[in-house]
Amino acid sequence: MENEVTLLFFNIMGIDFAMDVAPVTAMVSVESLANQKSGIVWFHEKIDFSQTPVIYDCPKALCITTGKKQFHLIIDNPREMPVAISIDTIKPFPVLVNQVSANTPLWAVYPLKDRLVLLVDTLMMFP
Amino acid sequence: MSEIGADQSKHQLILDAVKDKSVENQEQESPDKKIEIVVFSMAHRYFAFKGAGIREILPYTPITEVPGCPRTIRGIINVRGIIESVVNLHTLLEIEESPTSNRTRFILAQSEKILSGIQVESVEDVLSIESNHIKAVISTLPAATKKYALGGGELYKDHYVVLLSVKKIFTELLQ
Repeated sequence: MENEVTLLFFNIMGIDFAMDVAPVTAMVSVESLANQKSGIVWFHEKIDFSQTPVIYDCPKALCITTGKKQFHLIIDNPREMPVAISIDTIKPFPVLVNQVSANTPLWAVYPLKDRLVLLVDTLMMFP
Repeated sequence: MSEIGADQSKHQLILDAVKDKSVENQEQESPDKKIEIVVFSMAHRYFAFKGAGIREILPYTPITEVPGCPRTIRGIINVRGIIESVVNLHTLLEIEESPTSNRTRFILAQSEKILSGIQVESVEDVLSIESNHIKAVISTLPAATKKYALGGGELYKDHYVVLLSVKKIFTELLQ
């Protein structure tokens, strides 16, 4: 098993998220998807935010390939460069949260300085 | 309802009652025993947890919301490298939310294998009291409070303090 995972960080509605870059083939502008008729998913359609409406400040589209399928996942405020982190630094959700998050694409937490980054399982988003 | 359905529902009620009784019995103390309680306040009312289930009292730090969690869970915090949940006691007790202040605290409580922070408006004191000062739950308590109460009494500066069960709170959150 690899000791590192390379994550792409982004932030939606003040909450930090990160996902493994392995299934991400490109990051493009949302405008470039204007002629795309299907396969576009906004992040909040897969994750249930308590605050609504969910507002995107600086949205970008990630091209994601799982198996033979390709999707565009729209996220917000992504960092330009992915970061490799040691898997030892990843923390599980506490019991009371895990019983809920187990049914969502959120699978763990990465403490980054004084913030907690929620890790997203891309494959669970696009099974 | 069919007879089978009615029987099942009755059995469930009996099992629930037995479970509640078992929780209460486990948390009863011998009458002359001294116990520690952590007294805290919420919306100008006083509550307490038994000290035995309290690991520590932490100052307020920003909470990271976890999308998808019910309103009874505020989110998660980092306690020296361990990620802990924060329970929303305001929602559970149906008390109006109040803004955080420099008196806001997280009470880190444990029951069996579950450890979690519980956000309170202020921790008032840690007291050692004789367990026979804790009386049965009064009938006039709001239903949402009664659900998690073990008892109560004039335990802190002549104020009525409701003794809450961490176990009952966590059990509710696990359902």
